[in-house]
Amino acid sequence: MEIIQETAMECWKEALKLILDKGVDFKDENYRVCREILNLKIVVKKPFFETSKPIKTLFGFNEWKYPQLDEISKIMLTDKLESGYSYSYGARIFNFQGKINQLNDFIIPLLKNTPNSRRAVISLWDPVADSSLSNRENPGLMLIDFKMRREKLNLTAVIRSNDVFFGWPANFYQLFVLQDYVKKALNCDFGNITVFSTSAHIFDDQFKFIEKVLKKD
Amino acid sequence: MADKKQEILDVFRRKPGEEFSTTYIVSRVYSEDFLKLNNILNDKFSDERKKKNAKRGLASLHRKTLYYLNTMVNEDLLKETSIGKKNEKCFTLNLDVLAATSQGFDEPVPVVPIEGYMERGITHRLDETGWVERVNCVLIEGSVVENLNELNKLTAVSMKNVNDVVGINDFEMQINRDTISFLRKLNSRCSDYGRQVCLIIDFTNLVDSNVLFKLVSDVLDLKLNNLTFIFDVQPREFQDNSDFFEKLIKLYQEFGKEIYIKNQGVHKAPYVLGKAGPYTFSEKEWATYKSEVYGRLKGIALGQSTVMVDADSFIKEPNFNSDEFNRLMKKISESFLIINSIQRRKAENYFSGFVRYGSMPKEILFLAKDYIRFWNYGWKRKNLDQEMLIEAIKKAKEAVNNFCIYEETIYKSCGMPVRFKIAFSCAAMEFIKNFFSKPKYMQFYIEDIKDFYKPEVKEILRTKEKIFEIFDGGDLISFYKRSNYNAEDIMREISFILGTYKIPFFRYSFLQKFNETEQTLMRFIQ
Repeated sequence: MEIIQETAMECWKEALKLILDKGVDFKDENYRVCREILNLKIVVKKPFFETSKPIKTLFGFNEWKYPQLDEISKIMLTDKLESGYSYSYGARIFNFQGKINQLNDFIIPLLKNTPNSRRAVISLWDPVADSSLSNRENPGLMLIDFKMRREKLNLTAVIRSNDVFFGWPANFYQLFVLQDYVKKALNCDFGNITVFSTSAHIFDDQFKFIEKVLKKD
Repeated sequence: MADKKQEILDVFRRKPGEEFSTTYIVSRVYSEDFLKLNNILNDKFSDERKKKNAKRGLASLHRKTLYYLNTMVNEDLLKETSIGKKNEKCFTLNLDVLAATSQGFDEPVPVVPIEGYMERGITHRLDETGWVERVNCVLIEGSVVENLNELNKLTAVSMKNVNDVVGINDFEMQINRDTISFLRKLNSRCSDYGRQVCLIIDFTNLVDSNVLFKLVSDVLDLKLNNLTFIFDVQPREFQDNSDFFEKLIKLYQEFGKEIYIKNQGVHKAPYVLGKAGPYTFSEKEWATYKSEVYGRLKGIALGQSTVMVDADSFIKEPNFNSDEFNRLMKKISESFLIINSIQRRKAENYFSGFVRYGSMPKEILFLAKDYIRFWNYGWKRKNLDQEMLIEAIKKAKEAVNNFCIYEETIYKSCGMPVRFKIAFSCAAMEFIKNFFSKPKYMQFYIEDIKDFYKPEVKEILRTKEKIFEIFDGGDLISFYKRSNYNAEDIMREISFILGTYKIPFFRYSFLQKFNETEQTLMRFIQ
């Protein structure tokens, strides 16, 4: 299934409604009732416009405390694995296995030299650490692909397990932060952000809050 | 220019981590001009020329502010985080760079949303000054530590990183002829730092009970009062070692000290008793510890941060109702979230001592949890429906658990896999007597084993069993003795408790022998 909209907020709301209406229920590993759509594609055409609006919507609820924007973006841009976390996106991107900076030493020089390249791919899944039966803490964001077309930088991400209510707003914001980082280095314009969620899901205890979000302007 | 930049930084400093639009920053930094110009623009009687000038004025303020903001972005003090309506830029503070370079100011001291309650004497933080930089309780694994020398080094490190108590599990594995001199040093170190150490003796592993008896006897004799033995037994082991325990009880009686018993048949995880109250793992956490941590790590944090609540004072607040209580629980939970976030970020600095001993900070905090400790919450309170009390605590626990689940889900789905757990427990009187209301509960006197068959005693103990279930961070019940007791009777009572009730942790107090007064079964403390 596919959702194409101008802004992150429009996409988010449409995705939530789609899963709520057409998702299939099952019990996950933690015995939570999960409503899921497989292989959902969401395209945001203006990622730079009101990028953080879905996050700010989540700030408005009293039942939880959503992380601040600074904390969300930092996890994407910090190359050091913070001591309290078992993995972090930034460390996987900027210091994969302590061996390679996938962005500064590969993506940016590659796209500078060969703007039309189809090889500008970052992998966040580390089979050595993550493909283990005992390890249950591994990244949801698996892959980020950059395509420069007509001087616009398009970003596509694959997320293996995507809590669309709590996670998608932050994941999208993090992808935007990364797109902005590369865009500045390449001196080009923003293109689309496309997110493929191989499991796009919500939980039954979120339904009442999702209804509230869908009613918002 | 420096002044203006400082003013802008001050705007961010008030709410670190929050995003602000350019307009908001203009409204704060040029507040008077901004207000004046906006008044002109919104005044329907202003003429067009004036309005035009006001618009120009506002645009000029925006340009000036943007100049400073862009400069500060280039200097890495701020980050441009998004573009809002009308293509307006939004910014956040770059806490990392500020912390690394100390430009502008130190990382702000976290403001937590319970400070009003603290001022009113309803809540109290364990270790006001060090509650971010230290954990409450660390459990060192005596069976994994190589020898007393290593244990000495580990406890020395722990004293600096812990603000309440260090537990040494399976301490029986470290008993030899040098142990008493190690304990003397340890006790003196505890005095220096104001900490406690719990020595947990697991009877399943005990080889020579005579050596243990000699050690306990020496500790009591030398008045090493910062050290507490906790005897962790199966009911069967207690009976099998009855000679030893009888001797031990006599010893504690003689010194007028409390003896601490943990029932391994009811709760497998060890208990640690700090100044603030008890600490323990849930059975599920203990199973995880055994399968994933044991043997690999020498020490692990049990308690991370603690907030204590005086329920009696809170109930007396003029606007008290159940919603207000839920609100308090939520505010405490939010405070823990803020503090835990800083602790994770700075774990390497805060817990550097442990890192030197091969533990990664994330491993130290692997099973740590925050504690809400209740004081004067109504157990054993005359004229208070105990069933209602249990229901109220249960509901509060469910709400706190839900909040923790939401936060773990949120953080995990944002790419920040964190553990966030809050446990309930009781607060120890000795610790909070200077901050909170006077105790309103009864001391529990046992005259002889027949008391356990009295309906009122049965009810008290059944209620306590339920509270032990809800207080997943641990609880404690004290039995006080009259003066005319003998060790044999106490043995029978303890054996009865171990075999009959789901009470994991209790103490027998013989203090009254030194302060004899006429006691009844249930005497109220005034």
